[in-house]
Amino acid sequence: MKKLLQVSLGIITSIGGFLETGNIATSSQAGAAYGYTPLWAIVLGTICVIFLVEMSGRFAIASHYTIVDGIRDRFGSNIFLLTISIVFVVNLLVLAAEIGGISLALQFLTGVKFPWWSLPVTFMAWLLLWRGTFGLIENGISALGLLALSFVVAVFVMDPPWGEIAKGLLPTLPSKDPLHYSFIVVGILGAVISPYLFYFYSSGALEDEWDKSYFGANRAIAILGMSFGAIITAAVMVSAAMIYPSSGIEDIEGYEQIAMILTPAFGKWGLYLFAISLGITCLGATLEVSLAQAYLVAQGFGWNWSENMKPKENPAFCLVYTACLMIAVIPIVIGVDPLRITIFSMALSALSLPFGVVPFLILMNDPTYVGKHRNGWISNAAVIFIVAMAFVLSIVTTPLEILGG
Amino acid sequence: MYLVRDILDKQVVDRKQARIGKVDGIVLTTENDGRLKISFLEMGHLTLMRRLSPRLYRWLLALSQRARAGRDRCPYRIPWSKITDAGVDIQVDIDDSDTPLEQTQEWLRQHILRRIPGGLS
Amino acid sequence: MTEIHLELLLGMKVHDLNGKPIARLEEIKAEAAEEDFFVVEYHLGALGLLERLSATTIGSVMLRLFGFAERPTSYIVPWDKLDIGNSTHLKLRCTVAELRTSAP
Repeated sequence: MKKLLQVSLGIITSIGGFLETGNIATSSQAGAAYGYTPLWAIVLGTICVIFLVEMSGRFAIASHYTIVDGIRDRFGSNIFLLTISIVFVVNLLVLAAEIGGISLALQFLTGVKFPWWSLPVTFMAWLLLWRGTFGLIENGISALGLLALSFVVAVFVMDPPWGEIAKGLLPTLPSKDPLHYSFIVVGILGAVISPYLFYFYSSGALEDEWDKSYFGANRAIAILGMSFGAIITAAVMVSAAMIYPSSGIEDIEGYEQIAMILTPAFGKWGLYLFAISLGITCLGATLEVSLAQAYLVAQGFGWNWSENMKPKENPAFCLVYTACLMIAVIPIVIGVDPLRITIFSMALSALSLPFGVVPFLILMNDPTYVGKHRNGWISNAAVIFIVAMAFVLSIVTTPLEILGG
Repeated sequence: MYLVRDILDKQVVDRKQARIGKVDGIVLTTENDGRLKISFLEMGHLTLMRRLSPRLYRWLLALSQRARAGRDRCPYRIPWSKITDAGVDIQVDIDDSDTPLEQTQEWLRQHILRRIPGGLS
Repeated sequence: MTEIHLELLLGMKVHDLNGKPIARLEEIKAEAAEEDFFVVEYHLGALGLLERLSATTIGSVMLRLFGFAERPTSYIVPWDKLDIGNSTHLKLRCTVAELRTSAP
C-alpha cells in the first residue's frame, strides 16, 4: 500500500509531461475547431504513453540501468549521440514553450506582459532545481497539480452532452478540412507522447530507488498517473468544445482566448483558476524537461547524476540544466508568442518520436537488459502503431501547415 | 569476455563507486609474437568524437591543442590491470581525483559554483 | 609495438582474400593468459542494414511480417586470421570456407 503513495512520481510525470502548455493549447484548439470529435486522439495518445511509462519503469527496475545507459551500451556511442542530440534539441524548444506558459500565466494574473516575467520565472525554476531534492519536487508539484482538477469540475458544472463525448472517444473522420484536422491530431499526439516524459520517469524510478518489489506498483502508478493527465486534458477539450463554437470562435489565435475557458463555469474566478493551473503545470514541465536534459547528458557520458545530490557533488549535471534554462528563456524574453512556440514544438516532438522511442523499444525486447520482463506483443504492437501513425501524419501535415500559414 | 558487449560504452566507477565516465575506447597493443594484448581503457570526449567522425575529431583536436598552447594532451587511459570487476559497471582501482573528469568537475566547483550562492554548501 | 584502437574497427567491413566485402566486425572475444588478456576471436555479422536489423528481436519480427525470413549469418574468425593493420580495410588471411559460423 505504501508503494502506492509513490503514485506522486506518476502524477508529476503526468503533470509535467502530459498536462502542460502543449496539451492545454492543442486540446483547446481541437475542441474549438472540431468539437468533441478529436477526443480519440487523447485516448490513443494516453494508451501509448501508459505503455511507454510502464515500460520505462520496468526497465529501470529490471536492469538497474537508465534508458540512456542502455542505449549507449547496446547501440554504441554513435547512435547514442545521434538520438540524444535530436531529443535534446526538441526538448529545448519544449522548455522554451513551458517557460512561456508560466510567464503567460503570470500575465493573466497580474496584467504585466509575459516577457517581463520570463527571467524571474526561469530563475525560480532554477532555484528549485538547485536547492531542492527529487522528492521535494516530485511531491510538491504533484500536490499543487491537483488544482488542475478544476478543469474537470468545470466540465461537470457546465453539464456537457455525454452522448457526444462518448462518440468522440472513438476515431472519427472530420467533416471539414481534413488536413488541418490531421495537424491538430498530430499536435495532440506530440503533446501527449513526449520522449522526455519516459526518460524522466525511469530516472525518477532510480532516484526513488525502486527495487524488484515495485513491478506491480509501477504498473498501477503508470496507469493512474497517466489517466490523471488524460482526464484533465479531455476536460480541456470538452470545455473548449462547449464554449468556443457557440461564441463563433473556431480558430484559436492567442492564449488570451484559451484563458477564458473556465470563466463560464466559475465566473471571474475562472481566469484566476486557469492561470494558476497553467502556471503550476508549466512549472512542473519546466522542472521535468530541465532534469530530463541533465539526465540525458550526464547519464550518457557517465558522470555522477542525481537531483538528490547537492550541486557540489555533481557540478556538471547541475550546469546542464542551468545552461538549458538560460538558452530556453531567450525566445520568451525577446517576446516570441508562447502559443506559436508551443504548437511548433509539439509538431516537432511528433516528428522526433521514432528517434526517441525505437531504440528504447528494442531495449525492452532484449533479454540481456530486462531478462524475463520483456515486452509482450501487445505492448510492442500498440507503441509501434501509434508512434508510426504520429510520425507519418506529422511528416505529411507539418510542412503543409507551415506553408499554409 | 566479449569486449564490445561487456566493456565498451560501459560505466566506469572508481574505488568508492563514484562514476568517472564511460569506456569510450579500448587500446590493443601487438606483442612480439603477433598476439594482441588488451592494454588500456580510453576515456575522453576526443576519443568519442573520433568514433563519430574523423574530420570532426581532427578539427576538435586542433582546437583543444590550441587551447592548451600546443602542449600535447594525451587522452586519459586506464591500464587494463587496474580493472577489479566487470559486471554491471566496470570497477577500477583508481581514485576519482586522478581522472580528468573529476578534475573538470573540481574546476567547475572552484570557478563557477563558488560564485553561485549555495554552490559549495 | 603498435597500438590499435578497437572502437574504430567496430562496424567496419571485412574483406575476403579476393577483396570482396563479406561481413562486418561486430564483436571481439578475449581470454586471459598469464596476467594479461589477449584477443582470441573476432565475430563478424551481417553486411546489410536490413540484415543487421533482423538481428534484433523486434526487427526480426517486423521483417518477418514483410516476408524476410532469413536470419543473418555470422562468422567466427580466429585472432590470427584477420589482418587489422589497415583500420579501414580489414582483410581475412584465410578463405571464408575455413571459418566457423555461429548459430544465429
